[in-house]
Formats: sequence, structure tokens, C-alpha cells
Amino acid sequence: MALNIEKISLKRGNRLLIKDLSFSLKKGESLLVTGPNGVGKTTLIRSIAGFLDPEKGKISYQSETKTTNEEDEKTRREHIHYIGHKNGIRTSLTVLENLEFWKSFFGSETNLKEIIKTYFLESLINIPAGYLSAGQKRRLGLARLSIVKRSIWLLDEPTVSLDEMSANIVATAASNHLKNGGILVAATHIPLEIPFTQHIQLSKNIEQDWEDII
Amino acid sequence: MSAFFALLKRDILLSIREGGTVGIALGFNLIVVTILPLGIGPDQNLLNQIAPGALWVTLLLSLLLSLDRLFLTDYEEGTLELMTHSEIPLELIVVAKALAHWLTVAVPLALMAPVLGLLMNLSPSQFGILTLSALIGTPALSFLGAIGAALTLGLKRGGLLLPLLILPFFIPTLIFGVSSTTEFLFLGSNYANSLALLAAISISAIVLAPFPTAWALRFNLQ
Repeated sequence: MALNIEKISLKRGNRLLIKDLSFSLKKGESLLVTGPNGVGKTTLIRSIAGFLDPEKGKISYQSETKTTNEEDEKTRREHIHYIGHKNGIRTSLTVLENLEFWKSFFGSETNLKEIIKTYFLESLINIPAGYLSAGQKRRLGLARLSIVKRSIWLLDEPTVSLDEMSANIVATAASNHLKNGGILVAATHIPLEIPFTQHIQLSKNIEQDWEDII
Repeated sequence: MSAFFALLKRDILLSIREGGTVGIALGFNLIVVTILPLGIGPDQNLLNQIAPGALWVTLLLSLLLSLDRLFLTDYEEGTLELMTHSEIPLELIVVAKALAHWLTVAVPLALMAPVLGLLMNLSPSQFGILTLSALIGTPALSFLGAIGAALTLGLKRGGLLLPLLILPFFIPTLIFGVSSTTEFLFLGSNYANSLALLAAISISAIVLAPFPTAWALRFNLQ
């Protein structure tokens, strides 16, 4: 099982953000992406998630079971857990209903009780998600990671608005994921207690000549 | 397929709980049909004659009102992008959402037809065809409307652009919906042909519309 990024270039609104970036992650490996605002961390993660096609280069995933590349490419999305800026929770459903929806949507057989305990949602289960605080909403969004087992975790600022204790939940979940042979890519400003095996520091490599425009 | 039914179940539950969409569609339909006779005057024969066209046009407009919310909340809350990471293709997710829209908005609108028929001076024996033609014709509206809802997703005032984009595509449904009703009510001719064409339009829309809709959604998720 491996995630290969081969010389990709990524554009956002005509701005070239990332040029010729390559890396490869195997079972149990993890990558930390850091860099200043607007450098392309989210763009990189969203392109691995399959929302954005790279301008040049190739993103490929080899699963353990399938053999052909084409099949793997088609099924890449089924192996991905994506945690973006938005939590993906419906505010008019209760916490439990949100969890139950994702469980049945992903066709998972997992025991929700354990997940509720792990993410400290016990006292909130019957409350509509709209009434939760920003941190509680984030915890509910992150609980999705434990609902169904998937091999690639893409975390974009996962600990945003979380307190220290909740940030530790994420770190523990991620460490277990890596121990079980998962792949993890995380973009963050805040230090995470995850044993990363690789680190990419993105920098503004292409400065637009703004003085010419004015 | 568990994802398909999970989504269908959730959208129906949400529609009942949030209530706004179907409430506004039903209320709008009722108020327009109520003020129509006030504008036209108390000529009962005239009302009777324009009933099929008037009821079908208000049905289209009421349905349009509810369409802009079809993907919007899921898009804003980030659920839509997560749904692309499921075992079923985005096209089937579109089918589940449009089907839920049809069940929760179009079916109540179709069942409301007798009440509106009463306001247009139709006799109770004529109510059946109104509901029947609406039930057969509206799947096309939900599924074609999904294309418009997906295209206008990233726009701030998409709700206003949506009718301009989508109403022209509702015309075939309107024509055969009105003709089946008119044939039954006044001409006494064989209305089954029109109903069959209405069904054909709906089936084509169910089969074909999810593809451009999914394409537009993918584009908006970039």
C-alpha cells in the first residue's frame, strides 16, 4: 500500500502554488506539511483528496488488494478520510443522529458507544449539533475518523479550536492509525503529538511581480 | 448501497424536521391559486377553463422555490465533499437527494391539488387527474431542477438565477401535464397518451439528469 505524489504542480485561481512536488508514503508513514498562510497546504490536501486535479504530475494510490492502477485510481476516494475546514455535520440533527448517519452512510459495523466515549461526547448526544461550541463541533467532525477504518487520513488543521485534551484525542487516534499501518498527511500550524516520519515545509517559491500589475 | 438509503432516510428526516422548504412551497402554491380568481374575476366558466394551465404553472413555480436548497446546506456544512468519498458514485448521491426532494416536496404538492381544484371551481370527480398527472410529471422537475441547483451552488444569489436556467427545461412537462388534464376535463379524449409522454419525460430526466448534476457538483467542489 502506498500513496505516491509525482512532480505535481497545483494552481489556484491562475496562481501557481506548488511546483514539482514529489513524495511517497508507505504503510505506517506520515507527512507533516507546514508553511505560512496561502502557500498551498489546503490546496495540496484537497488535491490528494481528489477534489482538485493537479495541473501537472500524478497522484496515485496502490491499495493492498487491487492490482491494476486504473482500479486503484477509481477507488482512491473510498480509502480516504478527509478532515477539512468544515466539519461536515448537520446542525439540525442531534450529535447521535449525525454519528448514526455517517455510520450507515459508510456502511460501518462499529460500536458508536466507544466512539462517543473516546471523543467525550457522552453528555451531548441528544443535543442538536447547532448548539455545540466550536470545539465540540470539531470533536464531532473528527469522530468520523473512528467510525469507519480507512487507510489514508488527510487532516487539514485538525486541532483548530480544540483544547489541549481534545487535541490529544486526535493525536492518539492518529498514532493508532499509523501503528495499524495507515497513511497520514496533516497540515497544521499547531504542533501535533504525532510521530511524523516526513516533513515538508512549503514556502512561497513563485512570487508574483505585483509591481508590474500596478 | 447502504449509503444511498442512509442518505435518502436522512434527507427525508431533515425535511420533516426543518420543515421550511415544503412549508414554503405548499404555502406559496396555495396563496397564488387563492389570489388568482380575485384577479380574474368571478367568471366560473373562465376559471374552470384556465384551471389546468394555472395549476400547472403554480406547481412549477412552487417547486422552483424549494430547489435552491437542494445541495446548498450540505455544501456549506462540508457534508457534500465528504459524500464524494463513499463507495457509491456521486451520480447516485444526486439520485438519492433528488428522490428525497420529490418525496418530500413534489408529492405533498401533488396531493394538495384537490384543494386547489376546489378554488378553481372544478368538481370532485375531476380532482383525481390533477393529482395523477402531477405525480407522474414532477419527478422530471426534481431531477432537472437538481442540475440548476448544482450549477448555481457557488453563487451568492443563486436562488434568483436558478429559475432563469431551469424553467425552459420544465416546458415539456408543462405542455403534457396541461394537455393530459385538459383532455380529461374538457375534451373527453384519450388522455393516456399525454400521461405516457409525461412519464417518458420523467423517466428520461431520472436517468440522464444525475450526470450533468454530478459534473456541476464536482466543479463546484474544486
